[in-house]
Amino acid sequence: MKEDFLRNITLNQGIIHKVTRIYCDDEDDRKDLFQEILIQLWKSYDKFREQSKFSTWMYRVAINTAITNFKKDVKSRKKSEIEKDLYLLADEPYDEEKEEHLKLLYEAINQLTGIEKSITLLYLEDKSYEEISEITGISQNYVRVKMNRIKKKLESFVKSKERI
Amino acid sequence: MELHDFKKAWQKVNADKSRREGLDSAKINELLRRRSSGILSRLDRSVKIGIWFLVFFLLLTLADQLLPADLLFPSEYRGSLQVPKWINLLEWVVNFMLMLSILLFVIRYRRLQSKTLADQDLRGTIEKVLSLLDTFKKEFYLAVIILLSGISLGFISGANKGFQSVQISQPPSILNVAIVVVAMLFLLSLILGSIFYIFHKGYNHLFGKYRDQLIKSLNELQEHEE
Repeated sequence: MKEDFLRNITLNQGIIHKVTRIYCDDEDDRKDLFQEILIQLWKSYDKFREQSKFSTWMYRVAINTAITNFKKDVKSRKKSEIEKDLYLLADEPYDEEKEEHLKLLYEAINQLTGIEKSITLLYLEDKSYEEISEITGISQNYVRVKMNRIKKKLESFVKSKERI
Repeated sequence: MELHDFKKAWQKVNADKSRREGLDSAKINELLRRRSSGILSRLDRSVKIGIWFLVFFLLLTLADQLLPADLLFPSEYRGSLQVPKWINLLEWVVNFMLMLSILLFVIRYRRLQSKTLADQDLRGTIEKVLSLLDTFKKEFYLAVIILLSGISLGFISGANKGFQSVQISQPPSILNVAIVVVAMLFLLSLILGSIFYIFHKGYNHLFGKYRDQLIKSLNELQEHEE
C-alpha cells in the first residue's frame, strides 16, 4: 500500500507545493506544512476508496490541513527574506512586469482569510464551482458568493496599490 | 491588473517552481518517517501522551493505596506515614474520578477518529480539530486538578499530623486553632491559585490563539448559512 501511496503522491506532489505556497510566507513554514500534509494524507490513505479522483481527495486533505494549521506571528519574521523567496524566479532573466505581477499576487492573497485562500487557490487552478464545492464541502451557492467577495477584495487591493 | 492576470502569474510561478521543487519517492518516504512539528500531529500526540500520563498517575496512586506499606517504605517511616481514614477516602474519590475521566477521554478520542482528521469536508475537519483541542484542554486541566488535589491532600495531612502532635504536648486554645487554620487555608489557596494561574496561562499561550483562529474560520463558514 505504501508503494502505491508514494507513487501517487510523487506524481501529484505539485498540489501540496501549491497549497503550501498559498498558505505560507516563508520557506521553513512551507517545509513544515508540506510534511504535515504528507502525514495527514498517509494517515487517511486507507480511507480513500476512489469515490473521487485522487487529485480531488489530495486537494481536500491538503487544504483542510493548511486551514487548520496554526498561523505563527508574522511580525517575528524578516520581511526581506519572505520577499526574496516568494517573488524571485531565479532561473529566469529578470522580467520587471512579471515580478511585479507576482509580488502583487502574493500581497493580494495575504489579505484573504484561510477559507478565501482555499477558494482562490482552486479558482487559480481553473477548477469549476462544482469541483470547488466537491473539494471543500461548501455549497456551490456559497462558493459563488465567496468568489464574488474575493474578486471585489482583490480588485480594491489592486486599485489601492495602483493609486500608490 | 485583472484576475486573469493573477491566474497567468500563478500558473507561471508554479510551472517554474515545480521544475525545481520536485521530490522523489525516497525523499517523500523519509519525510513521512520523521516526527512532524505540524499542529495536527502535535495535538494528536499530546492527547495520547495525556491519556498515558493519566493512566500512569492512576497506577501510581493505586499502588500507593493497595500495596502493603512493608513493600513500599522502610520500617522506620511506616508509623509516621499513617494517614487518617477520611484522607484515604478522599484519595479514593479522586482515583475514581480519574478512572472515569480516562475512560471518557479514550472513548471520545476513538470516536473522533483523529487518524482521518483532514479527510472530511472543511467544516467537519474544523469541528473535529476543535473537539480534539477540547479533549486535550480537559485532560490538561484534569492533570492540573490532580496535581492540586495531591498538594492539598499532602498539605492537609501534614497539618493534621502537626495539630495532633501539638495537642498531645500542650492543648491549644480555640482562638489559636482558628488563627492557624485560617492562616494555613490562606497559604494553601495562595499556592494552589498561583500554580493554577501559571498552568492556565501556559495553556492559553500554547493553544488559546489557535482555538480562536479555528472558531473564526468556523464562523466564516456558518455566516453564509445564517
